Amino acid sequence: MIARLRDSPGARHHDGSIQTVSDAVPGEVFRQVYAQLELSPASGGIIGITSAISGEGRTTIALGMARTLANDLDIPVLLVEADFDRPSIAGRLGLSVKEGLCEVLRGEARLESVMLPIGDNLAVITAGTVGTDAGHLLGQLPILDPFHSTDRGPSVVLIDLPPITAYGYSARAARIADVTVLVVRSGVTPIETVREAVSRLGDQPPRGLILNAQRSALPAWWPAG
Amino acid sequence: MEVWPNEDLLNISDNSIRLECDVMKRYADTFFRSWLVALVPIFVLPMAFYMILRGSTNQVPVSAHIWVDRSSIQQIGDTDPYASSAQNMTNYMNQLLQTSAFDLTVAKMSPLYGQQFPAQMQRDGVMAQGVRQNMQVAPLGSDLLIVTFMNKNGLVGEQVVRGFLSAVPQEIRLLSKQTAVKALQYDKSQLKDAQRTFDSYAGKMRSYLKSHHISAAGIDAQRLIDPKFASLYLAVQSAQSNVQSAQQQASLAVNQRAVSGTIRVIDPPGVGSVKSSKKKTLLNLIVGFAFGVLLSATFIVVRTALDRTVRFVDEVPVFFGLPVLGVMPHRPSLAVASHPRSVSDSSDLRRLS
Repeated sequence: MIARLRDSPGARHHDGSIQTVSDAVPGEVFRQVYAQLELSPASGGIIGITSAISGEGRTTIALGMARTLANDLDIPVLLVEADFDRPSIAGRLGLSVKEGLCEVLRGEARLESVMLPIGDNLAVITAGTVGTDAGHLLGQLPILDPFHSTDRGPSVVLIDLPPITAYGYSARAARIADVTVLVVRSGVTPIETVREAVSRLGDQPPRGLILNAQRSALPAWWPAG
Repeated sequence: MEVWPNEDLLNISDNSIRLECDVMKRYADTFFRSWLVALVPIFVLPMAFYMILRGSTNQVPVSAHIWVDRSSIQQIGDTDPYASSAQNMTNYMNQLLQTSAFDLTVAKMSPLYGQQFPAQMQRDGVMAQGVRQNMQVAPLGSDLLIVTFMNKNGLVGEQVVRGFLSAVPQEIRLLSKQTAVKALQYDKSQLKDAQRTFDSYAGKMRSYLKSHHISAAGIDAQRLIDPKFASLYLAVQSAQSNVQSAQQQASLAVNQRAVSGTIRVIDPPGVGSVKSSKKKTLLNLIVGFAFGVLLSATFIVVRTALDRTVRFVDEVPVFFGLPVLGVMPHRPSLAVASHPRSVSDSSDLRRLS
């Protein structure tokens, strides 16, 4: 499948992008991202999706990528919402749940009990009831590490991590992921902020960036750089 | 403030052309993002310059160059002996312009100018005042001066200047005539006095010669004998000399009346001086366009410099040393509840950390 993804059709964009940008459907972009993460589709893995600041489209991308991978892969896909400041997945999916990751981290609920199947191959864990201990719970996430359990079998876990520069524990929480992807909104996030986010991730830098909402005003006749 | 794009591009790209291309791409992107704003100065500034010029062209200058004969200066009365002919004539013309009657004369010699003023304004002296305020006389050298009149209409200005150039010689001739008449009257009076003195002394001398029975041949001998006769003789000769001198002065005053040397116009006012304003209009439009382009370029450069965000895919490896895994094109339909927030907003979240 990876080979198929890498051979995805695409034309060179005028801004020098190696990706098929303007003509690609989002699903194809997610497949390309997953292919470049070089995770084994058989064994799965934990993909952390984060950003430098909030509002960069992190949750949207996590949702779209989870849906795409759930359709493409044979192993289960689990979307986990770890953004405790602005939990929005439940609202977007129209779910009314009270228990989620916070309850799991507090020890008030088991992981399996808060997993909500929303598709044939896709389940979601919402943030749950966020309290004043959000920062503490975030710090506990890599310690408790509830997703590396072997008894559930191989699966792809997509974690919607909080913005790196927003929480002191965000970078620490990102360590739970096997690979981290940084979402950067084009034309919005300052370069220094992205650099700081990369720097905070330390010895576990992001595998790469997803440039979101990329928009070029250059006309078609402008020479490719 | 750090200048953007900065040396980071240099560290990555070995090719300076590539660097230039990247920078140019950002500039071009800024331009095409905000081309409407960027093009505004290019259109607005030439129009503004044109309007400013149009405001200034309400006063079209019409000029004439005048050569001043040194001899004509003698006719204008009080002059500064240390000043040039042109300066003296300039002073005289400016004095004339301070005279309402002269200004009115000039105005009346310019029918087109008079049409600009209603009858009431003509009576109130506004028309004459306009001549005084808009007429300028200035020396250009020792013998050359320039007369300039500012008016909305060049043809009107031309007519006013021509009227002025006609009125000034008239004034000079009038002044010269008055001066000559005064001089003649004075000289005639002097001649009369001298003649009267001569007649008095001559009568005394005749009486003396008759009473002493002295003929004309004996006058010289009698001068040696009688000192009184000698002094009388000298007085007669002196009076005769004064009469001759007074006669010469009177003759000179009469001749001065015949002198009619005035000013010479060597460059009359014409339509040509009005045409030059069209060249100025074009020049101002070009200058306005140049300023507009400069302002637009400054806008693009500043806006690009202030934008410190990632715009293009090929900038990601340059700035972060990370590969681009995917690019999500800007599609408003995808941005569900995903409102861009500033860095300052994210600071609110730190309270939770």
